[in-house]
Amino acid sequence: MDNIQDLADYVLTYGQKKRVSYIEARAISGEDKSIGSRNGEIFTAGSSSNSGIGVRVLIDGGMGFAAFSRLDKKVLKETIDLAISMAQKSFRKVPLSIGEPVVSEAKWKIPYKTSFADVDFDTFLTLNKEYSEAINRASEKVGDIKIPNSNFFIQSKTYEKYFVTSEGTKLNSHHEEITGYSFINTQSLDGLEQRFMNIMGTGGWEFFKESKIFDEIEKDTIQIAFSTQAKQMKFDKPIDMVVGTEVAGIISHENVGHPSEGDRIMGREAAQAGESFWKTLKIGAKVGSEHVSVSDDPTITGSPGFYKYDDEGVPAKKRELMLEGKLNEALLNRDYGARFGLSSNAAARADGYNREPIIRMASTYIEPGDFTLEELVEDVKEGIYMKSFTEWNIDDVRYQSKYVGQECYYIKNGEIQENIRIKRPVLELTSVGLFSAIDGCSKEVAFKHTGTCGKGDPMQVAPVYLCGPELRMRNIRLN
Amino acid sequence: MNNEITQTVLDYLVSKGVDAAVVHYRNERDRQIKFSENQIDTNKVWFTESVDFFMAKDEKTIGAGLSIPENDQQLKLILDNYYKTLVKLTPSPLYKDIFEGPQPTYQKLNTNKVRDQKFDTIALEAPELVNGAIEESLNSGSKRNAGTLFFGEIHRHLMTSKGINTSFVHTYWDFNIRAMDDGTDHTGTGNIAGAILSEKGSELLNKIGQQAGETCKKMANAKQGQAGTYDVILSPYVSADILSALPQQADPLSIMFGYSGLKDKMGEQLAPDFVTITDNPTQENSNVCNPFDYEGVPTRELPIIENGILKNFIHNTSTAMMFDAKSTGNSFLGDSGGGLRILAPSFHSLNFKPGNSTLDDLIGFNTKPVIYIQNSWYKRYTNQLEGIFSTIPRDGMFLIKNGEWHPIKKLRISDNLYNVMKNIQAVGKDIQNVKWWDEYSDFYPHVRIADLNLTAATK
Repeated sequence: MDNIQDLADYVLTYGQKKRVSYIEARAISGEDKSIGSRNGEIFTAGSSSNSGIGVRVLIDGGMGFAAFSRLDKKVLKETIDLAISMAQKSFRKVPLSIGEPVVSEAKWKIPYKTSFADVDFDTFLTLNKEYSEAINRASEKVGDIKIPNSNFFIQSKTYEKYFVTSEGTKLNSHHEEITGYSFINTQSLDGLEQRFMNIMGTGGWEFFKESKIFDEIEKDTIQIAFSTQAKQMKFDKPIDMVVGTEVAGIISHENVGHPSEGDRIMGREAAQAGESFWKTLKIGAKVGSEHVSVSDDPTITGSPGFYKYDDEGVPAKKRELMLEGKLNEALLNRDYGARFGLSSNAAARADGYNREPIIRMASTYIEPGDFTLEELVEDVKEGIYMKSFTEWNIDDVRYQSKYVGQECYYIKNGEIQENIRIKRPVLELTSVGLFSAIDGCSKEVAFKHTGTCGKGDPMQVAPVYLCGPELRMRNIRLN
Repeated sequence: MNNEITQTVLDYLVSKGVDAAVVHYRNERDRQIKFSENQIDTNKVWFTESVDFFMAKDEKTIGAGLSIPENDQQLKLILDNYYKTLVKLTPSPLYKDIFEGPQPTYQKLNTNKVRDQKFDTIALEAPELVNGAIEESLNSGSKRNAGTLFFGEIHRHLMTSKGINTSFVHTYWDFNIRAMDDGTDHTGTGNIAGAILSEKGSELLNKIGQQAGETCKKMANAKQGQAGTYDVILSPYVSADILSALPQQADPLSIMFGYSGLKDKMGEQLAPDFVTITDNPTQENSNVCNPFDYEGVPTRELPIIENGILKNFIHNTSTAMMFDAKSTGNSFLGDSGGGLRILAPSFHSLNFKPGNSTLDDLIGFNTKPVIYIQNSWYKRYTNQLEGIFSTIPRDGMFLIKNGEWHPIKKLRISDNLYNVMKNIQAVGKDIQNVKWWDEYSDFYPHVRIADLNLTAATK
């Protein structure tokens, strides 16, 4: 990618000529492989290459962003010139800043064994066979329950990223990523359930063997099929809830991760992705029980959100968002680090060369506690074990949340009744109500639940972990 | 325009012996101004060129999107690799054929109503337009404002191996603003879209800014709403978000993939007989306008729900053959990730036909209290086939009782799409071109719904 790197370097030279106060260039060049199938039949497959450069520029207190896919200097100059001219006409009352200077110089890569670039297409196509076999095995184990739809899509991304700034940062990185999903419909005489399961990670071809993802899909499909036979149950009074690691994961992401984003707290995303209930609170405010601590960590090897440097060149680090029920740390980039009177904690991510870096989560999870699952359940007199969810729903300040259970069991006298499945119980709680009700977490965090997080305009999709241990909530009235 | 590359790609694919090929060149110049806390945050400029192509041989198919290669030799190497992959595949369950020429006559559009002649200069005026709208909102009672102004010019050139060679240029714009006070509970919003930003852009943006500011002011001292079943009036924004959800399932691809519950509902009464919703890309001065689809089939206004009855699914040539129907001009070379493209049906822009009611008529439809909802977001499904969903009202919600508007907050719509459609009571006559984020881009009026289920947190 010499030519594209030369052009990225030229961006800095061009910026100096224009007397900008800051300029950066992010050049990306890579190849993707994809395969999509419906009920085992491949409907799309292939590989493609893409490349381009994104530029951020600060001038006269205004910010411009320029992106182009045609790699020539004429286009480079035209797009940057227009971005600069528009930035100069912003007439901000408070000039924008990029925060304290950052200088990083490194070459780094995602840890991997076999690059997807070295996997031939015939080998890549075998993923569909493995997926179909997993669905067939599940189908054989669920009796008369039908699986009328099974859709599979998988995509590998191999790309080089070159990031340079007028402050002296120069980063070369090599990336290997996996994104995809399994979608199934399962149907019995009693009901119908749908399941969308993300398949995501960083690493090479070995991901598919090491993650045992097709075994996971088989097990999951079986349980979703049996969930079609669940029965509705009404509770006249509040009950205790034990939620599984998947439900804990979505809670960590939606009720803690999003509201901790510094740009939301200060209003930058207000018109689309929204604001945060943290806005009216202070760091240290109590919003939950002492059993709840939540972190976000981009340094977990193999996680979908793994990086060594963020998209502003700041070295990655773990962030402790909530500590023992109290707000502790916001996710920050350079700009919002300065606004908070702090430094960036490396939360800037851009989902392509043509997107500005904004504050994002990486791997958000509720920290483990001291219990086993059996211990969490053993003193529940009557309740529900909500192992997985179907619908999730939350307001833009991340306060009013709703989680609808999918694989759910009745708990009676301290035991999960595996033969009594409960149909779609609804948790509809405020963030404070939810976290205040937690009185115990299990010992193990399941680092396996993945998702895509949407934010920004135009929309940017960030691959993330959403994880946690099992949680127990007391005295919950279901909706 | 770069017509040469379209021809080069098509010629090369045909020379490889494919049965069918579609090549679509796209050149986009997009701009966006993003603002928050009453100030412009970023001015974004994109220059994007791409060639999307689709090829079929023995019913095996591949589609892809490419950045412009440095030279023809590099281009042919890339196409060779795709062809080598194509022959290794099995026949696609989504493909039968593409549209056979000769090239038809397409709708004659008034250039001045689909392409902004001042596009090249409007970018430098745009920051001032945005600052003007912010000022209007502040003057109308808000304290903080955030939003985006998006606009662009798109050049398309389409060629197929079956006789199509056509091109089209159009511009679009959309603006949204959210007005807030110091906290997060009292907010208002507005959005608008069109084709020609330089025509009345300032006036329209200011009007939307004023609307957002006024709603924000009216939301002061909003009280927690009470969960229950209510008659509601949905603004055009909420109508577009909720009432487009079921018509959008009239898509054979969604049916084949198990996402649509409309598979066996053709001819069924889904809504009262005064409800008609069409898919319509033929309107000038709208942000979505396409005279031809990605196979070269002329587009047209297509009734999806007519007089309350499910009337049509959208189709391209292949799905029409599978469903014993005719192409409806909805073929699209859509992104399935990784730059890959599927040639499949896709909606252009839904249009809910206006009724006869003013907003006052809708409020006074009967003597029951009614809740007005200005905006909603985060629509998610418990089960899409069954239509069970939730979404959250935001940016203005009022309980209207005895002619007085009482601001309320923190309720959730938890209902079923089929119930909502059946419970439409009356339709406003004020159709609007609305566009907000990735949530909707359609033409919708105010709509009154009976017995909508609203829920609230229990703790």
